[in-house]
Amino acid sequence: MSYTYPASKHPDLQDINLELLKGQSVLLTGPSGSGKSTLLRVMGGLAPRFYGGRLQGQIKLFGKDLRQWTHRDLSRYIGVLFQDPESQLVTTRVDQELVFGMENVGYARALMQDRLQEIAAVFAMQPWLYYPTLHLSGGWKQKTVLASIMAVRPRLLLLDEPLSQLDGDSAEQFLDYLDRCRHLWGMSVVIAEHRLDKLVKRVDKVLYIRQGRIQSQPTERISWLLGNGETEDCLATKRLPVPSKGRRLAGLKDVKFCYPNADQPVLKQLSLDLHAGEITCLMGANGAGKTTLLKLLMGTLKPCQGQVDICGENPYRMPAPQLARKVGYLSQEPGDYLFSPTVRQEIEFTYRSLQLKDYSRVDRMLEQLHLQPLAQRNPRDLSWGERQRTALASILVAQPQVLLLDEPTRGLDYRLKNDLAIMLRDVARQGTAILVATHDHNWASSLADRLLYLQHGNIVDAAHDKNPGEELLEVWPETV
Amino acid sequence: MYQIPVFVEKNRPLFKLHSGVLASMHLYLLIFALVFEHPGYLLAMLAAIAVMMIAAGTVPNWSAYLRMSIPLITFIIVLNVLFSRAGSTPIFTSPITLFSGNYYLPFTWEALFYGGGMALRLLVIISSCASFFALVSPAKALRMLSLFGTRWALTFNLALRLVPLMMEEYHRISEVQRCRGVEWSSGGLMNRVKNFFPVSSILLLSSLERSVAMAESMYGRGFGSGPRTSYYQDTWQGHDSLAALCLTIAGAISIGAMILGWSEYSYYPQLSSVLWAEMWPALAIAGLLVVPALGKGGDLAAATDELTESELYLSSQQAP
Repeated sequence: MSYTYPASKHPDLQDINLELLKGQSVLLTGPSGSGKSTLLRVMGGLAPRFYGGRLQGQIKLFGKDLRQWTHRDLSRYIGVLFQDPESQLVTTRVDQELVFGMENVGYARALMQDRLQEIAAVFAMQPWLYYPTLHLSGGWKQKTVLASIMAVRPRLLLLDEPLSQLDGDSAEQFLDYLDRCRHLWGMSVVIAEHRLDKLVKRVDKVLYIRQGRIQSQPTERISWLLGNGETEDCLATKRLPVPSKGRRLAGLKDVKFCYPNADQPVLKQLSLDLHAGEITCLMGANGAGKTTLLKLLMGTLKPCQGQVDICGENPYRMPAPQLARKVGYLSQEPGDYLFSPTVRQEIEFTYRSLQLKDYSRVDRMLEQLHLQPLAQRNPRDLSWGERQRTALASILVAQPQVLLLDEPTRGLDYRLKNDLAIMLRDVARQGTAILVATHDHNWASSLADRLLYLQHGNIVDAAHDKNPGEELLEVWPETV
Repeated sequence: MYQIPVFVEKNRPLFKLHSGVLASMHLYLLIFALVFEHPGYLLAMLAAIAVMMIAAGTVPNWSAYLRMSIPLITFIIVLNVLFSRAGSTPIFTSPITLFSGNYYLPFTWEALFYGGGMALRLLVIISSCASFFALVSPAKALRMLSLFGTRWALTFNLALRLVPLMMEEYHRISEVQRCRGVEWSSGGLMNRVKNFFPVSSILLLSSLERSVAMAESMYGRGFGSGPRTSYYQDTWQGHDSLAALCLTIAGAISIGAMILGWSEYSYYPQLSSVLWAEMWPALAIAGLLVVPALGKGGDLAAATDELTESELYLSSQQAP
């Protein structure tokens, strides 16, 4: 099978030969932009039906050509779960979301009633069945969409990077639910994912896709990635432990923060110092307060108690141009930075906005972040990793003294994660204090000079604290 | 902290109304907000909406919309005062001295009141939209619009679901742009306009991308594949009949007032006087509109889309 998107000149998928057995689970992996999502879309009947384009070859579902299936039958037999749960929630209440798919394909009311009770029991959702979807955490949103798809009881389930926004615990829990569904209803599952460590032991087969083709000897390739490649690459970026701390650039002292209408404070008497040239990685479960801590440092939130300072000044009171020269912040969504027609203009925008004088810095930044070949491309047309590099360049051009990154490895493959680690190491070498909030403990432990864990509103130093709590030992025994 | 107005089901009479009745009620408000010119009639409609919002416990949603409309309302009034020359009663009767000369400012009370009337009309329109979004769940709206075709339903539902998300995104984008030196909420007017451009552009682009992703997800889940069934069904109850009757009478009175010319008002060249004898229909309309908001409402068990007391309790607990 080959497939070409309407805007592509060359096939995006080529010579794909794949057979999927009933009840089989397959992990689809490969670099970003290799065609994993496209393959799922083709298998799910979304391409070319929804996207247009040209399909060559044949895809058969239960012996019948996929092109002969009606939209309704396809929706009954195939469930597709995408990366971003926010974009998949259609209704405003959990129970309404669970029946949405069943209503679409015309199930009878009595059947829907049974399925709703059943699915709520399987996913342990009864207490939250009437909860507004907008206020659910990321993990619960993903679980709700999966439950809604499972309620239709498809025979084939296609999942596109379902773990990318989940922390370690939530990802394991999500996979447990998936396994339970498979065992209960015997469906076939195809998962495209970068987080191989979570999945390799749970699947029957691993496929490696590169440049739109399924590569041979996939199992060996994956073993290599997990056993050697990833570790070797990341270790290359690790520098020796910092013998003496650099100058203190920013920090929080006895900070307490509580959101309005919340029962418990997110952060309690938290203290943290950031030093020049040091990379600090901050880990913790979804909702532990990692992003809140970053927002306090960038001055968009004001602590209820305690002090926050950036180079001795209160970031909350700092005017934006002054703040931008001291703190750089890369959010989870690189798209939040990008609006200019070209990558070069995107970086120049920060430059003009801050009225900087040394114009050669734009070229240096393009070169440093390997963006020179993309300089004339529209940043919105780039891949996730390239978008992220552009957003990072648009911040780093201001030469901030403190760099804050929120889940920067989300959606990145091992190669891109490694590239990012090398870039951050370069930036730290120039004297920038870096604080990274991440779920990716392998990446964090290979990169960080200091590894911290945010738990119950306070910080546990994973590298030095001998007794950081049972929870931490359970989650990351190797780190401790 | 900024609060995003979202739909939250409440155990109040207005939430128990049939979606068709609620839609008709808000359609009535929208149409007659455009038809009525008399500020007394518009005020009566606004008062009715206020009572409805208080009775439904949705004042925070309403005030969020009102806060957003303040700049637009101010702009309408100021623009009218500055540029309308149709009035005849000057606000400033004494000349002011500028550049060693005496000038009469051409601002009139009529222009000010006309601007006020327009602002009042806009307030009624915005408030009726706020009331609709606060009282009708997206699921109900989706079911209702599915009767007219899936494309309508899809468009409406995407808008309804994406508005709170857009607001969340707007705040996130403003925060991250601050780290690029962009701050549109402070400084001079020109600076604000200049700095708002990147925020609004990113918001638009992100919303378009999200819409495509959501449409793809809905397509994948079978939306538009044929006639839908409905798990939750609106059931017509006694209080729906009462509300429909009140709305019909209000509609008839409104049309009567319109034909008789009682709902008209002329601002120019001089403000016309208010005839109290022509105002009783406005009071009657306001009274009729608030009737469904008062009282006990329908039977919870009969309407499957509505939550029982225990379900309401669960839905108000802290997020998982």
